[in-house]
Amino acid sequence: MRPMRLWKSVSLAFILSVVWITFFLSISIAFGQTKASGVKPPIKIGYIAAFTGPYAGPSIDMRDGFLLYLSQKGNQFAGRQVEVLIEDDEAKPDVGLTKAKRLVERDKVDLLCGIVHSGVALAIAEYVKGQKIPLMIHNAAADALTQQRFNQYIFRSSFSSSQLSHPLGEWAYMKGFRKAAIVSSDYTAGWEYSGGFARTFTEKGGRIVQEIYLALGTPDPGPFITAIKTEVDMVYAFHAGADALRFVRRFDEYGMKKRAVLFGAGPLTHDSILPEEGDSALGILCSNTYTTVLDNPANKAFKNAVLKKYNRPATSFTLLGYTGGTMLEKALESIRGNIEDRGSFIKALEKVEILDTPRGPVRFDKYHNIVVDNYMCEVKKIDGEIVNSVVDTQKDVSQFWKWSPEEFMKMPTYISMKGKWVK
Amino acid sequence: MNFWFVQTINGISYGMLLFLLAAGLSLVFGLMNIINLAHGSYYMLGTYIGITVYRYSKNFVLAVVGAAIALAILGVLMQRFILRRLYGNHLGQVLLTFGFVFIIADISLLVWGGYAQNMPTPSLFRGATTIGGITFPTYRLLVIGVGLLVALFLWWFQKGTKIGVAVRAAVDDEEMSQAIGLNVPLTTTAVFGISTALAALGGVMGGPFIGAYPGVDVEALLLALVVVIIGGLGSLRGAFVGSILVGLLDNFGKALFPELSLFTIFAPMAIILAIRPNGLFGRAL
Repeated sequence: MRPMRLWKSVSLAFILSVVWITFFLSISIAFGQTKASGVKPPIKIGYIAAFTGPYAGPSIDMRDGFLLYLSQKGNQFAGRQVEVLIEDDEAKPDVGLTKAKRLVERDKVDLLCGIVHSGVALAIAEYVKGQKIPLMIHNAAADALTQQRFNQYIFRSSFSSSQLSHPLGEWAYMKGFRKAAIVSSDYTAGWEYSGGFARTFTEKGGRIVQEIYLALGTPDPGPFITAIKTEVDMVYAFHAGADALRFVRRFDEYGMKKRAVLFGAGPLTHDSILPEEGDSALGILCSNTYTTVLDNPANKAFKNAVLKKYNRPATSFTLLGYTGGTMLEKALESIRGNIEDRGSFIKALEKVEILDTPRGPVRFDKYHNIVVDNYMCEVKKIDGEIVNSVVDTQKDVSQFWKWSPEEFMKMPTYISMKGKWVK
Repeated sequence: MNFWFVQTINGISYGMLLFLLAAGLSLVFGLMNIINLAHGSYYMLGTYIGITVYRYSKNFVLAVVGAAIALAILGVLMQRFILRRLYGNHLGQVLLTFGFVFIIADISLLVWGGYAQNMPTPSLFRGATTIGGITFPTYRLLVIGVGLLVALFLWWFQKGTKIGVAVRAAVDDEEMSQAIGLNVPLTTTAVFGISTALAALGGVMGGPFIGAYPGVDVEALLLALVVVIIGGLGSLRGAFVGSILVGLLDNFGKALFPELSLFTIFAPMAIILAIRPNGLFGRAL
């Protein structure tokens, strides 16, 4: 290019850049003014769950429960607008971590919530510690999250896997059962839920006679059911989703209910699959943090609100999202909505205690896991409807049961105890 | 002893379900050189539609017929208006049918929700049968029976009927077949419809024991692909042998090595790919 042309191009480019930069600078200053003028920006919450894939049902319900609570409060907590950004982790830890990073670093959320899948929770746990962003887990139950892998930014308002199996083990022994077979899904949840039962059951004097673990997604649990030893008087089975549905039906079809009583955790006879299980589920005993037939005013109001807003019945997952919202609001109110002060926010969460939620009283323990009442439920047909009916309650159950946190965490983990319960 | 026998029956019956899936997949490939990744989604839709029809009619046969017809229509529409445009374009077909997997999965989530569902076992076949001291589930025998019937029917169809001969002619040489007056486009569309109807039949038969839930489409597709890879694309015999093999491997794998259950399926597949890339009975791609 000839010198004159070159000079013209360069100066044009220079002038354009100056104009461009000035333009953006002024815009950001203008918006900056809004921030400084005293109107607090909205609280931004990142909600992550597995909205596609096998955990879609629980994730959708959980999110809807949370959003329902928020809408009941006019989309405001402690006087500040709340903005919820929803992301799908597809139940994959790497995707979950990516979405978490996006929410924290690009969208600048103040808090992460949700999480159904424990793998995702574990992937995000370390990340939030480094970023100093609180994480409120509404479901993921792996014991380690509030035990070995605990950090102060993690709070769990659902339960830990073994938490509700501890009382079940003692209750079963008290009811006269002495010989148990464990027939559970072969992954962390299966080992931890079953382990909690096994520990308290054997400490009382019961015996685990057999342990059978089925691969996730086993198309037919029938052959495993027929392999259960005849001497047992009860079977503890942890299964969830499609596996639970298949297991309960096969257990009945093979005539096992006449030989041994079936015990399990909430997912085995969950509200969502109970109608599908039908009469096969009658008589099954499960430990639950919530059942739809709990008789208290908060639960009645909650169920009606869900039916009205979403035109479908509430499940325990809707309730978990709802509880998450309830506890979050309580903490925010006590610090006047100042979530930016992470230290105070965390201290506020630690102090949250609510007595009248639909599932009863809730609060956090020293390791930020929820302390709740455990409901022993039996599946019964009441007024033509099959429900999880409460037959007994243990109050104030923490993840450590009767042990102190230090004692409990000195004992071998349930993951390591898999296969070792049979003496 | 009982354990092994029941596992074998379960493996074979699961294999029959896979055969219904794989036969369709293989047929469509053999005839039209189309790789249809949405095949697992047809299976899932078959189960869901079967469950819905059963809920309103309480009739298992009606559920089978309803699902088969619905999926046949869907298949014909898909092939006629969409897949035909990509004839010969393998990559395009793969991408398009894969896109359909997501679309169908999302629509299913919207219509039927995210929780697992299943069908009650038809009352005639409920419970277990005991022969010679060995107890096995009666319904599984029905599945095996249906699978064998379909296999025989497809065999006869291919070899013994005019339409079957027309199909084979179209596979061998499409231009020549059209030249001698065979309506090739109609034939291919009809075969596609049959293939999706077969997948739906598999879905409904699987309703009582596998059920429907988000994710079952990918599970079914994965196994169907393994079957056609082992058995060979385009071969009915390959689909039959392959599906029994995979059904048994999957069942025994999950029973004996729960942590390695995927390995027991994919290891043989890898071996076959290494030794006989066209599968046991397949023809070249």
